[in-house]
Amino acid sequence: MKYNAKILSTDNVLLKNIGNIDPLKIEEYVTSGGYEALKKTVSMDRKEVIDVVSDSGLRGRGGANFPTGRKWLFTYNAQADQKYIICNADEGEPGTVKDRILMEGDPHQLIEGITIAAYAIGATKGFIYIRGEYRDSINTVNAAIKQAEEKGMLGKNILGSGFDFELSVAMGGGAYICGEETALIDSMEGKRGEPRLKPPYPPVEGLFGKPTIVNNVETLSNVPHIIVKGSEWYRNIGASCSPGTKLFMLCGDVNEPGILETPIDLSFAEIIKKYGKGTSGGEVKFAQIGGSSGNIFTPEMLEKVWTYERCCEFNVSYGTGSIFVCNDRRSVVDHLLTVAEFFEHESCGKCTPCREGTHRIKEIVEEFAFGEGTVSDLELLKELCLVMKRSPICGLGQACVNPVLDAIEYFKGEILAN
Amino acid sequence: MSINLEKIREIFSDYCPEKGNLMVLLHDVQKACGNWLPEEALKEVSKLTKMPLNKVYGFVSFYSMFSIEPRGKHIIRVCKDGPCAVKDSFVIEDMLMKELDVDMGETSEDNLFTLEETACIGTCTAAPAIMIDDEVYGNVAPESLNSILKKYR
Ligand SMILES: Cc1cc2nc3c(=O)[nH]c(=O)nc-3n(C[C@H](O)[C@H](O)[C@H](O)COP(=O)(O)O)c2cc1C
Ligand code: SF4
Ligand code: FES
Repeated sequence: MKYNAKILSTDNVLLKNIGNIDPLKIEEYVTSGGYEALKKTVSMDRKEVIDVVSDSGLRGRGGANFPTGRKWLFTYNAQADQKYIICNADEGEPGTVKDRILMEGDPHQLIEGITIAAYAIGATKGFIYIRGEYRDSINTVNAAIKQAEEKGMLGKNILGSGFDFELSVAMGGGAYICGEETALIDSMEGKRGEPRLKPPYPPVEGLFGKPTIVNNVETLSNVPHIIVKGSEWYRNIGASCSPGTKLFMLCGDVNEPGILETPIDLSFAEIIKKYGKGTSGGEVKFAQIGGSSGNIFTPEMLEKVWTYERCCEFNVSYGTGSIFVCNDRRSVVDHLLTVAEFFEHESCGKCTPCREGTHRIKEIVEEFAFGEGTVSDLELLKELCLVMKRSPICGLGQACVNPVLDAIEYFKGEILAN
Repeated sequence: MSINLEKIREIFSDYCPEKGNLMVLLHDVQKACGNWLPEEALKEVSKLTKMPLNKVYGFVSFYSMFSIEPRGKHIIRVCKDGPCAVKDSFVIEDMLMKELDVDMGETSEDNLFTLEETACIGTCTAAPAIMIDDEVYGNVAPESLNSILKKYR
């Protein structure tokens, strides 16, 4: 299969077209009901569009879960001669393939979503920042933009409404940190992608100092559906506090790895069983949810339905939605070492706690991997992680300690026995 | 390979800071220079963009897809992150090092391949994954490596 990822669910909204239409033919998207939302949008009042999205309860799918309508309102209210929208397609969280599938399988769904958002906030220029390694995504999206321009869905006077919007592709260069929105913006400005101190936040002061919305690919791909079917339809999918469907990816020790779309009303254990045909090579020992900085979930935790509310209550997150399953033959220390090496490499080095901390975490985890770690090493590791949770500038330094702290909590005995 | 400054000028004729396209164009320049960015190329970019050379250098050195050292005709990137690691990506890594007689980051004697590690390339549900130039290969089995490499030899 072209996308190298099997689609495991059948009753889909965002994934509905994938594999069923030719992504390079705009006509096929239109026949499937595409660009109806944009037609409807340009006849609506801008504020009304934002209200629909706010009422729907849509939250950002890039990992931070921020309410999308609220973010748009900041930029809508900001006064400026130029506003921008950036679609964050720098997907780099290990275990995550959803944004690539959405771009390569149904690029017009995304373009339509971006254009609606641009209309709502009053942006006339937009970018899709795609990571440099995703060459197929870049080519597909570029081709789709061209077709949309030819059909009058992008460019000047869109659908005769008087609304102008220019969309282009920006590229990454192989730096995970550029997924962080302010690093991404600096990268687009021709600088090293180092996160900015916040505030100001991008909706008020973003690209070239102008109000800028940054939204994830999956977030924006939801927008056309919400506009056409209404906020009530969206709110009625899944749990009341986490409306809509979410894309999840199953990888690691599962019998059937792939991507699936489901309302958040299933436990991760049910997802693994129903879609992944169960754990492979043994029983499930733990799963890391949401990528390298995601929390480690024990089998008991996997039995729960992790709605947004429950996540807040227990201070965990499902992040990007990747479910990386490890069976009982896997070593927790080996896993931590892979994660620690990742963050040591990807830390941008701007602030000391993260630059030095990621390095020290790796060193200490290495001690355990070599069988030389001691009780006091583990205490030091925990203390270091607790300091790093609070002090770095951006989410990378703050969140990269999550799996380490979780592992110390759930697998202390195993780590010390190593 | 000799540096074609004319080609670099042509690529940068579309340069516009407001388009945020420095990175896109540098990728093109790197390709035109044979998978790396020689000093003369960076100097030319500095002239064309009116960015000081140290800023251009600071930019390219931040992003792992750029190289200021010569690289081979094809770049092989092996993913080493969790989902690939549990699917034995290290076996693939070892085999490639042996087959090409290089260490990670090195270029084969015949200048055909440079072997690199990469962070996740979004093919985790078909792990282990490697990339050769712009092409991604998923579910890479050790016994299929030779037939994959053959396409580039
Ligand atoms: C280290 C780091 C990496 C991130 N990587 C991504 C990414 O690859 N894609 C993404 O959409 N958001 C990423 N984010 C989150 C963005 O900063 C931002 O919150 C998001 O793009 C907002 O979009 P949303 O509201 O639609 O979720 C990352 C954040 C951090 C701290
Ligand atoms: S926390 Fe890490 S990645 Fe973030 S700004 Fe500081 S050094 Fe850079
Ligand atoms: S972890 Fe290897 S491709 Fe994602």
